[in-house]
Amino acid sequence: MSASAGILFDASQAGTPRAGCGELAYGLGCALAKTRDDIIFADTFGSHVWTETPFSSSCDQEFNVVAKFAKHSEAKQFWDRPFALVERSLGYPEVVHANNFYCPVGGRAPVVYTIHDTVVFDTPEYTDERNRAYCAHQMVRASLYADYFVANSSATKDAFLKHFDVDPRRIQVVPLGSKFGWSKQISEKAEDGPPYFLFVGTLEPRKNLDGVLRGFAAAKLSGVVAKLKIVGRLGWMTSALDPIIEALGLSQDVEVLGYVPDDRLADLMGGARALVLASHAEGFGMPAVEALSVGVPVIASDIAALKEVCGPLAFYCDPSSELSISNAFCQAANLSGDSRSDLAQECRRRAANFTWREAAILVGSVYDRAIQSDPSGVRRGLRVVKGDVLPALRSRAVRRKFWERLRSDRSSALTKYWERLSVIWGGK
Amino acid sequence: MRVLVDLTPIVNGGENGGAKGLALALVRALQSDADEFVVVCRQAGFNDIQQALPDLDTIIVDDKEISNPNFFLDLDADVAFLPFTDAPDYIPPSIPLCVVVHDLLALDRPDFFSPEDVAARRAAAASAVNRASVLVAISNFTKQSIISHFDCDPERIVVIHNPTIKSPSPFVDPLLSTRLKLNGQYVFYPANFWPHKNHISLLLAWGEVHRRNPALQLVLTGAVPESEYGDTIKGMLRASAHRGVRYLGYTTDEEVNAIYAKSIGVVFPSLYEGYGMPLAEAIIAGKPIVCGREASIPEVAGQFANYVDVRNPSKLADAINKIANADNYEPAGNENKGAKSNLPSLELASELYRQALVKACDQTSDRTPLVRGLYPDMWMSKNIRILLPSEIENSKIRVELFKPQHPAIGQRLIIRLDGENSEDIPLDSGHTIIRSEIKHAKRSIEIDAAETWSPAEVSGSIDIRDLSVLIQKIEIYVNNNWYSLLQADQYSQNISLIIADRAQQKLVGIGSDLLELEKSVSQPKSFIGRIGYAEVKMEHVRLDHVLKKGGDQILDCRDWQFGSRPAKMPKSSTPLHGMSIIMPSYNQGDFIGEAISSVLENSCVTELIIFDGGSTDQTAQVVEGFSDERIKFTSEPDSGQADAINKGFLAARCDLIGWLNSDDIYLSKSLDSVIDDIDERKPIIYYGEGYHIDIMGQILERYPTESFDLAALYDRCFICQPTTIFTRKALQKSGLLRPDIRYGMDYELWIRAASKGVRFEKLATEIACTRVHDDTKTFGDTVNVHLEQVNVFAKIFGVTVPKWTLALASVVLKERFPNLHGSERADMFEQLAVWARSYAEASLDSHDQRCY
Repeated sequence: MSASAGILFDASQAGTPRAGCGELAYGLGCALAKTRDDIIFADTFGSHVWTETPFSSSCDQEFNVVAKFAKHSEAKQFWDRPFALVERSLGYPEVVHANNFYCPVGGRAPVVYTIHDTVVFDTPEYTDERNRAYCAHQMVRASLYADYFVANSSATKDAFLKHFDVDPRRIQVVPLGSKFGWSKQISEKAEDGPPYFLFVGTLEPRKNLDGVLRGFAAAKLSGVVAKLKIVGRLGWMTSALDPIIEALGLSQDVEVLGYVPDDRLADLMGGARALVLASHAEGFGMPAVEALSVGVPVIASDIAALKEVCGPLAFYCDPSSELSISNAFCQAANLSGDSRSDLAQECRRRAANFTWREAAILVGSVYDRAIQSDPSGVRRGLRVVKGDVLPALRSRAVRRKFWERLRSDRSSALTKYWERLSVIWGGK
Repeated sequence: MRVLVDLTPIVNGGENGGAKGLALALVRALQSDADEFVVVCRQAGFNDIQQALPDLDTIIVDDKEISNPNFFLDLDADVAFLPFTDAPDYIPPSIPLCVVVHDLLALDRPDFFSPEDVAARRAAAASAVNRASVLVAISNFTKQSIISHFDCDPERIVVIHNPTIKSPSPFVDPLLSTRLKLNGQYVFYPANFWPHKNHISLLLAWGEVHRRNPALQLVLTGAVPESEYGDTIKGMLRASAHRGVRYLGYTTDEEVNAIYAKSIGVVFPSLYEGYGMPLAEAIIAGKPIVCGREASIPEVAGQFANYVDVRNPSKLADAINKIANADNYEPAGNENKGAKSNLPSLELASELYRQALVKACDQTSDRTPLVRGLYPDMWMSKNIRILLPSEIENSKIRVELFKPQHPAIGQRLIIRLDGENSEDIPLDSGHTIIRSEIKHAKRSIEIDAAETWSPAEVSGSIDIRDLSVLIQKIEIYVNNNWYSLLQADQYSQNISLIIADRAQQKLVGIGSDLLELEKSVSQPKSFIGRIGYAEVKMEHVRLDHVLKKGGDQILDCRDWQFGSRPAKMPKSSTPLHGMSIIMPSYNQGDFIGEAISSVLENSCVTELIIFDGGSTDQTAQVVEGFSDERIKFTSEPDSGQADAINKGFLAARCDLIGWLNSDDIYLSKSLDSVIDDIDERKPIIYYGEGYHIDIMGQILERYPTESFDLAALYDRCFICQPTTIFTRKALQKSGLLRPDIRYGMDYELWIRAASKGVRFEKLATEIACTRVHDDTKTFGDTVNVHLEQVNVFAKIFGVTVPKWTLALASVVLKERFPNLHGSERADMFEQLAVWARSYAEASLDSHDQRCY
């Protein structure tokens, strides 16, 4: 257990239902709270993200959750202030960990920034323009002002470094975990039905559902006997699925299930021949790890992030080629029973490398680095009495200079700060 | 044709951006013998307009003229030309309008703006679209955009592409080129750093470009806005300065021409344009272009550009490298110089504009009456005026409205026709429809409210406007049809924050979008902040309002005024031996007896001078009960405590003077015990130890005295007043009390005296007690005490004392916000501290040396 005064952990997207960013915040946050006692969850974080069903409505009651608001306007009012004031309202956390692309600037605590992916730069055509403009701006801010970065894969780290001139030592790669736990057995019930493949993900262009359906149709033509089940909420820029499915003659073979709660998803996944994740771009590919953890191989696009996760346990395809996707379907469908159970064993073994516990330990080490590296050595000894606010001192050097002057010379140039400050020095 | 050109939005300098140059060039080109032009402008833009259009009849208007409905009628124009996307309501409806629409960025990309900006820009565009007879769109894209956002007949929209007014020529003044350091290879992007200009992608792409082509530079011009986005851009510019990115700031036309001429290409990654002038300029300069396919860009760039997904930095970098690599690139400009672009010349464009004006002039049918004087959230103030495009007879008007239920809110509406009273209509509360017959009206119908009310006064809302009723709908009966002039819609509901509980028809409070009231929050003297969505910014408004409600004259530091120098202490011709004690008194009959005995106990006291302000209690009887000839009692009305004390000082005949308020007491024979330590020949004020006592005479605590230090005296008053003993010389040096200070007149005297060289000496003896009781002046009215203190320091001594401004903030917090806790309380204190400081600084402005 750690002894910091508090890590503000952004859980703004960890409420249900969760997309990828939310799964990360939820899985990581809960695991962190088990390994450390200093995690403070932020129910909202920045004024951009808002949900009616926030983290606090579904999380463990034991958790320390702050910045809870009933209305978006209230959250906006709170977060649209200078971050130094927000920090104070939240009791001066020692580290701020941002997970939803928003990068707070101007505060006192070091900022740890999660890089989910670089889709907004590499494949902007797959994002909604409004969201792209926001995320791109915030990522640029993070590159300029954040202190440490958490990347969900080496691929994401490399892609980030391609665009930004950031010291690679400040980026910690943290492979994510599976929400199913790796020991989960395939449920008997699921085995009984006809064979099927499973697609999981928010229905958006990046996920290449169109290509998957075409590839699946081609695979059917070459004799594959299986169904395709599609799980996920409607995202953006997707027209209705039904006309495409009909046009491809797949009405009998494709089942669109919409959003499915986690416990049922585990069964669905466990019973599938393979998970289909033929996205054009992924930062990590959380469903892939989830599939591996229940012993199910993956039909994956041959992008760096998915190769990193699946290793040899995937049927790789080129997401832009129908033929390639269809081949992958065929390979997966043609596995014999024995080789399937061998593969399932290996999948689980590989998934054991990806756990939230490991992720939490790695992220915790980043927090400790952030806390220890505070070069002024003053921040932790400082106790805030009341009604004060510190000027926004971003650069470490400036911060150090400020504290040194404050110590040696309280009267002259700093009088104006003293008007607003009352601090007691701890330690020496 | 007589054309009224409204150039009031123009200001001298570069603030207007490209639209200004275009407007001036067009008006210049439009001038002809056949047509007459009348230009109206503001003083702020007169110089530039005069320079560009020296031959034109230019009228400078101010608010007075703009609010006069006849002013524009008297100009007798056939058509009004409005080159900025707005149709202001001061132009009467009888004049047909031709409005230029540049773009509808705020409606197409609201995510780049604050909700207030979107609302304001939408309102301007909506009035333009609704009122204009002819709309000129500067591109087909803009035309489509208008149609998609407004219910507008496409026939009314004329597309006229912008002519190029800059003339990039290949011949560059070498001096200019040297000054701008235009050497080496560079690509150029001229654009202000607005989010939609997408500098982020370009600067990210530049990392890649620089890796592959280290010699290539990027030249940027334009202004960086003061915003979060602007800060990010500044950070990026700093970070990429070593990679050949050069930012030149604001540049003149001549400089821009030179930059075009020497560049190897233009990169234009903008995500939104109504037109995209730099594209046209690049084509004319014969430079290759890299740009995206967004908005109007392909329409202007045509076949001359290399199109790329400008949101993708890698692809943008590839495209820039392609044009930079001369071996691979065949400059598009050279081969296309002779090619026909669809860009019009200035002559052609001005002819098209002339035709548009003629078209507007001819269109007489659909001119609509104009409602003036209504707030954007549909609240009516004292009156509204419906301006008619033509005479009407035997018509009717129907107004649907909502009147809040409150006794303070008016009961009648008066209808006037052309300024003549026509009908007086009583009003019921709640939703009402009023109707009136209109026999004959030439120019206008007015609706007057008999009384107005202010939500701020009635309900404690932040809204300080004078309002009457909330208009829902205005309809007028013309040509056998009901014609709707105005209707509350989703939009007007969105912009208003009506908190009135309409279901119960009870007024809870009203706040509304009121962009006019947006005075800068940074101006310390006017704390009227933005009223609207942005509740964050309303803090100051709320704060001020709460303070105002408390009844303190807190809003305006001018309320604290201090007169000239204090009166002087005369020399005494025949000084008596011993000590004079002066005692001001007013209705302290319960305590004065005790005070008098504590004085008379001391044998060194030669006289006790009591100036009573005409007490109505038992004071006189108590004083008469003392048969001591040392007492000199005068009872007459005075103008306050300081006045009474000053009278006492003047009447005193000894060279040593003590001052004891009638509710304070000297400790037993304390004066006798110190008289030997006192030197009456020197200008010294002596003070000793004292106690706080309660009304029963119980000692509460020791008064926190300190040995004298002027610097410390500014921070805290450590001199216990009843313990003080003045020498006559000290008072002659310092002057008497200021009668214009209500609470802390003694504190002011200490500082003044010390500053003027009077010595203070602390005696170790315990001399007196000062009484604390509930109605003692200084404890009943703490906010005013602190306000006065801050003003005394600022106006008389010309300083702000942080401790006292903070103290002001904390008493306001305690008095006015007793129910705040935790971080809310801390936040409020933060705001109050900032407020108090600016209050003190504002007060400092009226520091008068002569006071002191």
